[in-house]
Amino acid sequence: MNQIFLKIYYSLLFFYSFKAVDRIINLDVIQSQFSKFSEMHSLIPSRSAYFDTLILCCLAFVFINIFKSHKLLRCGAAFGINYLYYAWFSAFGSTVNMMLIWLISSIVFIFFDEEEAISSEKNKGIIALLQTITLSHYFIAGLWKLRSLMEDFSVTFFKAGVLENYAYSVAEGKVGLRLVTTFLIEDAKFLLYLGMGVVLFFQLSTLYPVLTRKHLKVFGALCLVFHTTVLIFTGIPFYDMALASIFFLYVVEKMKEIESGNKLVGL
Amino acid sequence: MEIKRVVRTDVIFFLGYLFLAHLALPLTEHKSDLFLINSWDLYSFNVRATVRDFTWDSGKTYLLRDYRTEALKFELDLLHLLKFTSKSKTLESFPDHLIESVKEFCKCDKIVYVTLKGSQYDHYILKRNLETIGQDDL
Repeated sequence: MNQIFLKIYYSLLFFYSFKAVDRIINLDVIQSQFSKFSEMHSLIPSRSAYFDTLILCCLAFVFINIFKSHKLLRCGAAFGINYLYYAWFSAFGSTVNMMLIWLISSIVFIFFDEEEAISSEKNKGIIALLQTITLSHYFIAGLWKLRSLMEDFSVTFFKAGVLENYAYSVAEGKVGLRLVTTFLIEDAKFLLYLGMGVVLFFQLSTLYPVLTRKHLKVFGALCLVFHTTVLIFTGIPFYDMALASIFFLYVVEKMKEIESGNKLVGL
Repeated sequence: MEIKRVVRTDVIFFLGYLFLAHLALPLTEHKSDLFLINSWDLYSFNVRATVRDFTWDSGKTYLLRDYRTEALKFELDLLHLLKFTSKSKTLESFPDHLIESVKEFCKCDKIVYVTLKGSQYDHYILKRNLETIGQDDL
């Protein structure tokens, strides 16, 4: 089961890295993006960050799927994805929070014991850590909303905050449904306020599974519903987080259940 | 017993992270970042009285407000431009390649980085013509 688990993870990491380097098609764009690279962080300006990531993650994906997983391959994949992130930061000066779980998980999975079961003592700690980090993304986002509300705890501020938040999201979104946006703004502004209330409640409630270790699968499914709704309403896909949530919360828990079921029937 | 230990370590890690990243660092260093990795202010209710954008025709049209679809097809990195403008960073910190990409997109030699009086909602959603209170040539 743990072999299948690693295969799924490295397949996801490969497809994720492929998505991250999709701009590789336009080499001129990459060249211009890295023109600022050396000036900012004394790193050699290069397209290599993109190529390295793709090659290393591809190697890990192919080898781990065909042969047995090896720590060296996992190290390579972790280096690739972290190097890409650093290159990104150097080139743009800003970071993407949602990538964080993939960076950390790629490092943590170097220490995953493939000889042991997923629910073994060592692996259980690794999985619990990754689940906590995944859920903490949502909780911290909620915490920051709450923190800004503390500055001016009034209905007027909340409404203004919701509209500002929505405006930024629409500006950032790429595939937003114009019909939905127009409907919300012109006819159903109250849905925006209500929606933000639900979002705030959901984000803060993610502390519950962290502290109790219960209902992780339910929260995995809820995260997917949350991201799908955000995609429809604002056009921001949050692929990274949606994939991480469904994998680390839902799939992992399901695999643990199957594993314990196999043990019971003596497989 | 084992589960309890895992959970206890996990909770200590989680609370320690929250304390460091969202209480200690922001309060002592006036930063919202944890070792330059995490920045969460975009997820808060960021109510501001000004908004920033790029124009090249004396404020008739704006890049982030009016040309999003075209710019995305042009592969212009709107996400990073938007983040730079919403985080109110200094002009010096603007990557040159992003400015060059905008110039290439508008086919103009000079673009203007404007500060408008109003909210993001007024600018991006309602597309109101806001008062210009500051501008810098790029």
